[in-house]
Amino acid sequence: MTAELKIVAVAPRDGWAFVREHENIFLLRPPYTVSGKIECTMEEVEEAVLKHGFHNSDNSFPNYSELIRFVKNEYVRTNKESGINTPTIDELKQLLEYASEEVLSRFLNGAETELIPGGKIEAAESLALDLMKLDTVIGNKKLRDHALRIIDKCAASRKKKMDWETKFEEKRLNEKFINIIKRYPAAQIIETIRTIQGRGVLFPI
Amino acid sequence: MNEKSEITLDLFELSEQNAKKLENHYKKIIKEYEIETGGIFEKFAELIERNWAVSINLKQSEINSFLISGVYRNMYGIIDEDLKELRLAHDVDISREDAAQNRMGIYYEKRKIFEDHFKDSDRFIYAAFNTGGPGLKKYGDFCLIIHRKEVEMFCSCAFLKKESISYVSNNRLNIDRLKRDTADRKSIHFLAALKHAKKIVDTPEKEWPGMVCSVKNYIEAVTTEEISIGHIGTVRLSKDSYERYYNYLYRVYSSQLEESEKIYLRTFKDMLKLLEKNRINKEIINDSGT
Repeated sequence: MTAELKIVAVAPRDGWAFVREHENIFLLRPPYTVSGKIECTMEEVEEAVLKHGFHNSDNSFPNYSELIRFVKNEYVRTNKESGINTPTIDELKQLLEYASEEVLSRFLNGAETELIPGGKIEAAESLALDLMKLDTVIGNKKLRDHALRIIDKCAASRKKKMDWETKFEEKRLNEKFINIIKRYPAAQIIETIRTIQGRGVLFPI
Repeated sequence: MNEKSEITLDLFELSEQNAKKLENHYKKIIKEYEIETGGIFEKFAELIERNWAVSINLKQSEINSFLISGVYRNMYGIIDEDLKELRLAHDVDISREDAAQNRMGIYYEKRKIFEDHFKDSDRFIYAAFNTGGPGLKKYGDFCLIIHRKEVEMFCSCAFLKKESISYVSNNRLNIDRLKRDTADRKSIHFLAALKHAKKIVDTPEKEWPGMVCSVKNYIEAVTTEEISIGHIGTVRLSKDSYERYYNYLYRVYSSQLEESEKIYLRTFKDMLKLLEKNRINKEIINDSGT
């Protein structure tokens, strides 16, 4: 069976590859999306190999997912061989210091319109707090106010969630432990439950 | 195998020898079309003469290596370095020729045919003539800009109307065409105006940089100068590439990154630090160069 996809040139340390798919040639590079496939010519492949650091290749693959897995693995392997190890998340966050105001604004919009509505309150709050430490944000009222607004929204969402949980727990207590509810205030019982839960012991309600 | 050419030409001398011819040809053209075009050729040539630079597009690992070592290495420089490492680590001795053949495969022969004709060709550094924009993006996101004042100090520099390998066909170099198509630093604006003569009138001025330097059609710059960090005025990055990196960073918060993505971001961060350390200006631009 003839393989449908062939890498004709590759730059392993950058995860870039020229791929032949039937009669067409495409350049693939991170993040390897369908819309990111760039149509190329064989002359461009030739030039890439002769002058731009690509290696000649003839590896074949039955589908894109195997091809991309190969390119990614080669990328990790060759970088590690060159002493580039996987960074921690905190190291990556240092990139924020170099971000433009436009990018930071986009991040804050994402926190407000995607993360909070999606229930990722901690993520949104962490993003806003990280941004608040940046000189770019400290010196820009619009960005600073936006970050503060997100922190407030996170606090409000968290309170709303807690109120809802309290209500739910009160309802459960009323259903299951009617006699206890008659003797002690529900709020106090719920607080005790949460303290015990926090210590890793489950209160069986 | 192609026999090594008996002729050893000096590409830089050829470019100087063609300068007067280009100027005369240019003058003839502007005289011929003066009324029809309303001085647009002159405007284009003047703009080019004022703004030209030379650019080299590099991928992430390449720009990081350059910023760490401080010196740009051409293909043979990279091969020599690899061979040195091989010798040290595995006591393996491979010739430069075999290593080049192995790396470039079926394409190597064409490059050899071109280079065998010229003096010092193993020191050739291939770049692009650039008057704005992100350069040859298909070969690297990061466009190193060497401004005209730096290029004018180079020991050598020649321009070719098309990329050098296109002058090789059927296992031979078309020397006559190459001689007609080459320019030196003083005549490059004439070559650029003549090359784009048919399109200048119909192309809006803001699109001229993209017309002059695109992957499909660019003027190649060749030099034997050792390019170091000090030569680099700016590193240009297109807005879409820049945003691609920051989309990954956003995902640090919104979801999880794969190992390859973390390394991808780390190398970008390393580069930004190195640019800052070396006080190299970073420009984020749209494809049109604005």
